[in-house]
Amino acid sequence: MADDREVLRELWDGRLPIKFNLAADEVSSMEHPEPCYLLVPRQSYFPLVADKVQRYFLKYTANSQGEEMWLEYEGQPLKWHYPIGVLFDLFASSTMLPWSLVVHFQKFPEDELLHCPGKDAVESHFMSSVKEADTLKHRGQVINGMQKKDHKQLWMGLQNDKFDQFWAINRRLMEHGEENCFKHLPFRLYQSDKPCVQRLFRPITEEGEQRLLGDLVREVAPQVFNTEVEDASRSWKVVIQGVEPPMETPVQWLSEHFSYPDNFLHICLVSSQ
Amino acid sequence: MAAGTLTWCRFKDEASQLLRHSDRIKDGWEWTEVEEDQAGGSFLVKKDVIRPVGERVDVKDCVPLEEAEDEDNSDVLGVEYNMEEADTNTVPCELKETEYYRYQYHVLYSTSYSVPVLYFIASRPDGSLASLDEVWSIVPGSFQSRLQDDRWTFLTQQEHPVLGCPMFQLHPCHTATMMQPLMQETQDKDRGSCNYLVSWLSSVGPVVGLNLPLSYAQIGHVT
Repeated sequence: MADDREVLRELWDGRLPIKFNLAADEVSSMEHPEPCYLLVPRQSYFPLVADKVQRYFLKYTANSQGEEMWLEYEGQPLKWHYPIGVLFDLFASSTMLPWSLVVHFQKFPEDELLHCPGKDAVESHFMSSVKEADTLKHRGQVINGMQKKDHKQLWMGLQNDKFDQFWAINRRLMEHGEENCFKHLPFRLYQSDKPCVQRLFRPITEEGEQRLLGDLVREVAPQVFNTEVEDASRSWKVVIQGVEPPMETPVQWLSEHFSYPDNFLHICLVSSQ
Repeated sequence: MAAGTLTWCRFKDEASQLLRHSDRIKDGWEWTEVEEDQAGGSFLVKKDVIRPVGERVDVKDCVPLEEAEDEDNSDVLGVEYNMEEADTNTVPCELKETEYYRYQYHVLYSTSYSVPVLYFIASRPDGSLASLDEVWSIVPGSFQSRLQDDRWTFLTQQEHPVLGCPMFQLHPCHTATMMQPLMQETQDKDRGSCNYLVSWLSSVGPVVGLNLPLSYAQIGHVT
C-alpha cells in the first residue's frame, strides 16, 4: 500500500475554488455584497470551512434570529454532511470554475437538509461514518481497538488539514488483515435525482479473484451498461474523487486509495451530457 | 451471526410476526417495500402516533440490565422495563388541546451492523418538522442525564437510508452489545424462540415515546 502513497497525498491536497453569493432576495442592506471567494479542500465538509462566509454575509441580511446558513447550487440545496468533493462531482462536474454557490439564511429546506447545530455535529457524523466503514471492513475490530485519543486525532487531522497526523491513524483502518482484502467494501453510490445506494459488496470473489469497479457498477447501477433502455443516448460517467477511474480498477485498491477521510468510497454517477 | 445481531431473513420473518399481531390488536404497523429484492430495502412503518406537547413517557422501575463502559466512554444502554402501559391521563391542565406532535416511526435493517435501526420524525400541527431539542423533551428524564454526554452520538438527525429524507435515528452501533445478553438469557432459560425485533423495540422504543403493548410479548412463544 505504501507504493501508491503519492495518490493519497494528491487527493488530500485537492482544492476547489468556490464563489459564494448571498441570495438576492435576502439582501437587506443598501449595497449588494461582493461575492466571497474561497479555495476549499475537496476532502472536507462545508460547515468546517464556511465560517468566514457566514460572518461576511450575515451583516447584509436581516438575520436577527440566528437562522442556519445553507448553500444552494442551481436550485439544489447542498447536503453539508457530504464531503465537498462529492457534492461538486455529483452536481457540478461540468461547470466552469470557480464553482458558484448561493448562500441562504432563510427558508431552511427542512424536508431535504439535515440541520448542522455546530462542528460537534460534523465530528459526530464523520466518526459515525468511520465506524460504519470499519464495521464493514473489519467487523469494527480496528476502530473499537483504538483509544479515544486516536479517534480524536483522525478528526483533528481532517479539521486542521494535517495529512500526516490523519494518516498516522488512518493507515490502520486501511490494513487488510489476514485475508488480503476487506470483508465488505464501504461505498455509497450517488445519482443526482435519487437517494444514495449502499449495499454489501465483497472485494473478492469466492474463488479469490479481485473484483473490479466495473463489477460493482454492474451490480449496483446496471443501467450504466444497459444500452437497451430507452434512454440509450444518455451515457454515464463514473466519477470518484473528481476522476473517472478505469472500470478494470480493483475495488480493494480504490477503497484503500480513493476513499474520502470517512473511509467510504463515494461514487458519483453523472450524465455525460 | 455475530452475537446480538440478526440476519435480513430473520428480520423479515419477525417483522411478519409483528405485523400479524399488530393487525390483530389494531396497532397500526405497516410494511413498506421500496427495493423489493434488496436486504434493507423494505421496512416497518407506524404513522400518526399523536403525543401532546409536554407529555413525557413515564418509564417505571427502570432496571439497568447491563452496563459496560468501553474505551470511548459511551455507556451501553440496556434496560428492562416494567411493561405497564404509560399513564396517558396525566396531561398537565395548562396545555392547550391543539398542541401536539404527530410521530412517525420506521424500523429498518442495517446491512452494515446486522441489527434493526429505529428512525422517526415528529411533525407539529402545521406540518412543519420538530427540532432535535423538541424531540429531546419527550425522552424520559431518567435517560436524559445519562445520554446528555452522548447526545450527539446517540440520537441524531440522519438521512433515511432508503427514502433519503431527514429523520431522527437511534444510533445502531451499540445495539448488538445491548441485545446480546438478552438473547443469551433467553437461550439459557430455554424459553424457546424469542422475537429479537420485539425485544429490541420494547427496549429502545420508550426512549423516544414508542411503546409496545404488553401483548407483543406473546409473539416469540407462538410456534
